[in-house]
Amino acid sequence: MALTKLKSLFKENLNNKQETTSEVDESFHIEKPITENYEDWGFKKGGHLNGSHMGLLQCLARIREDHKRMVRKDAAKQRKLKEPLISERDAYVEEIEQKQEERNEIINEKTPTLKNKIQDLEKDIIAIRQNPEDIMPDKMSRVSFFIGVLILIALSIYLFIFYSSASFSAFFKEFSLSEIGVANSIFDPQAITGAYQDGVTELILIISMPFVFIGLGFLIHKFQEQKGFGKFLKIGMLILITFVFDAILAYEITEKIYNIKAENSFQDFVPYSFELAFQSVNFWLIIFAGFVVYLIWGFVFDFTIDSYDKINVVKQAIKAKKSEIKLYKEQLKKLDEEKNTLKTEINELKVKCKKLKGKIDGVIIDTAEFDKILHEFLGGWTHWMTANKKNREEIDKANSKANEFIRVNIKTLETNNITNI
Amino acid sequence: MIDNKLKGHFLNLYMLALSDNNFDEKELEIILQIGKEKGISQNDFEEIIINPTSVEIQYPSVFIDKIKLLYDFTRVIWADNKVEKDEKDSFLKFCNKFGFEKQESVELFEWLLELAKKGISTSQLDIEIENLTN
Repeated sequence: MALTKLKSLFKENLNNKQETTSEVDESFHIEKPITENYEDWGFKKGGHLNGSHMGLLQCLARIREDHKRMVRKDAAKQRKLKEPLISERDAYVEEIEQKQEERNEIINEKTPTLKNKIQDLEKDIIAIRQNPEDIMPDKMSRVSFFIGVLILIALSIYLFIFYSSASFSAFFKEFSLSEIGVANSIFDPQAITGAYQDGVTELILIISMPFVFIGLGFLIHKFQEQKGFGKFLKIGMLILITFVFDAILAYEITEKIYNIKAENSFQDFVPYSFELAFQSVNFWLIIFAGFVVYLIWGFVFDFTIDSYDKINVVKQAIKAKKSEIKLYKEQLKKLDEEKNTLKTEINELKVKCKKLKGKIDGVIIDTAEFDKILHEFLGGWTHWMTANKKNREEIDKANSKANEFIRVNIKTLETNNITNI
Repeated sequence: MIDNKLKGHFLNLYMLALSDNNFDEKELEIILQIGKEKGISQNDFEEIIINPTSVEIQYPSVFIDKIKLLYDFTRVIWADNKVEKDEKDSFLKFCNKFGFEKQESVELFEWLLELAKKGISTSQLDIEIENLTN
């Protein structure tokens, strides 16, 4: 066996490494004459293959392959069918780019800015803790505050004792001749015990009386915090009321002392009056020991609160910075969530784009048209079978096989049109 | 009887003929008949006709792949240790489809048939081609 032709065939093809392209896709012609419709052609082929159902399936398969080739070659129709898909893909691509930009902005700009802000605030807090004096308006505030508190406590105790004692003397005490000295007329060490022995309500009154004056002092401070000229009027009124109240107490005590003296004297005493009270040392002693201390208490209270506010500046500054950090951290968390959501959305869009690309790169087949062609051919085929007295069973089998073919292929095409081709 | 791999190749070849209008229905019937005789059932054919996506069909475009496909077809023909005229005609028809000349195709059939008789596998075909061309 010489095999000369074969050898040269191998040498030619293997040496040149030339790929002889398959003619599968290019060399076909439509077997069905252009002038013939599918029904007539089905009738003709039925006769040609004697109505065999395998022949029918083969013909349907060939129609399918021909149709695919025709559709593929019909560039204009493919373009038209793909137009909405291309627009849809372009919209997705644009959306991906937009979301990518948003994500990059979060990663490269927004997040680092917030992190820097948090870092700066944390540094500020450390600096404030290390040198709190830097932000304190008065460096002596802390010392002033503690001194103020000490004085305030002492004065409060004093006012409590003084006013409880003075009010007991004014309201309830019966003076005797041995008790009309300056000191024991104002101060009575047995005031609380005496009031308790007289009754619980008397005790309550004596104990609560000092708080009336402390309350008035507190009100002066609160009015001072207000703005406008009106506050001076209110403060003036309060001081006046306190003074009058104090004066009444002093008048009451000095009157009692005066009356005791008058009762136990052989001389004539004029009735006690404000004129006499203003001339009495005891009267003024009570006023000064009560009212002036009350005024001092008010000023010290004011001064102590002021010092406290200054100390508090440091705590407030740290608190404010911590709140700011918390706010920024919440924003960071939101940005992180937003970043992840964008990533998921981008991935979903990419999957959609990939699916669309598959469709755009492939062939889109009009399934309704394909279905019509196959049924027309089948109609012609079965018509031939009926006309040529083929039995019912054979015709039914041909119909059944062909319908299965049509169903499977249409379903496959529909799936391919939806996803990849 | 042919093995599953060869059966797949044969169905591949059948689909190639089916999608090519140069093979008419009578010739397709003959290929079908060859397949049936070598042990491929009608159901196998029906299945691949109705749903070609159920199997992976590969159309050869490279010269050597065409030769290998034709060798598989020859092995199918020789499966029953005899060669019918129709079988050889179908082989020549495929050669024609692949663009080979008549005389080249006849020599190719005879050469491949000899190899099939020796039981050479498709993977060993490269060595035989090398031996032929040197």
